Amino acid sequence: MAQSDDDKTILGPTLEIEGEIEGDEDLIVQGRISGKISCKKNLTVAGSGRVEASVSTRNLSVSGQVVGNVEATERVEVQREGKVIGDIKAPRVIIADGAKFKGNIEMGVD
Amino acid sequence: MSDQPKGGTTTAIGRTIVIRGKLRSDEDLVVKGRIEAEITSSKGLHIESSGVVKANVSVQSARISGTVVGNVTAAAKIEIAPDGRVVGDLLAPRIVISEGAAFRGRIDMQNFDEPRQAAYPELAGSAGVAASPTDYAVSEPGGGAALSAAAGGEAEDGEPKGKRKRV
Repeated sequence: MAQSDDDKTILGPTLEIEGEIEGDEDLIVQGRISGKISCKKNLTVAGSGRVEASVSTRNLSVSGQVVGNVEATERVEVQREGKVIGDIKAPRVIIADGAKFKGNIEMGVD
Repeated sequence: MSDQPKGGTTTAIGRTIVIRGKLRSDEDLVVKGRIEAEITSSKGLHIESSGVVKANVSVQSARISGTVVGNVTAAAKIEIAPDGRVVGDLLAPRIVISEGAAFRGRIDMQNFDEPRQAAYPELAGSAGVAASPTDYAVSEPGGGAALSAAAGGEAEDGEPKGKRKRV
């Protein structure tokens, strides 16, 4: 009944999901997800996280691995340890020094 | 936190989360949201009162305070709490349905002779001796503890059910 857990879901390292996840709260992925993720808040792919999915979210931070297209309404940040293969569409995209990335980026600039 | 399954990491799936597909896990799982995904776990599953699971579930143990529509298989125990609702078949060596729980389906406790003997070895030893009902009650420390624990959990939910404690 921990109140602090109420608007945050952590999908632990041994968790594997094949399918679709939808959420209106912060989501931290430490395990494996393949399919589709829609998150209306912040999505974090932790170092142990492996995501093979099309992702739509508000903010995305990647320290693990993401394979698939990403669409964010605010911001995508690929951290130093992060790896992304796929297209990113977001108004702000940050790729840190050391991060691995392959794909297209669209920031919606005319 | 105290009513969550103990040991190792726990994944709590929040109220606004919806998962469809298939879910596998080797850690305790607390469900507050909605899962329409087949759940396979080598650990415990706790479906809180806000949680809804619409799929088949296969876990080590399950405690259901929310809603389950689907078959539940547990290697150890299934417990439907007073606010739990289950429509589906249950398969486990130990099954508890609390007062107030809603259930529709079949129950299979498998070959229930074996786990009973394993759980109460002292009974098996004195099988020849005619055991009076009181003897039976006294000589089941495991079952008694589990019941008290369950009663404790219910008290937390704001429904003191002291009378359910077996003497």
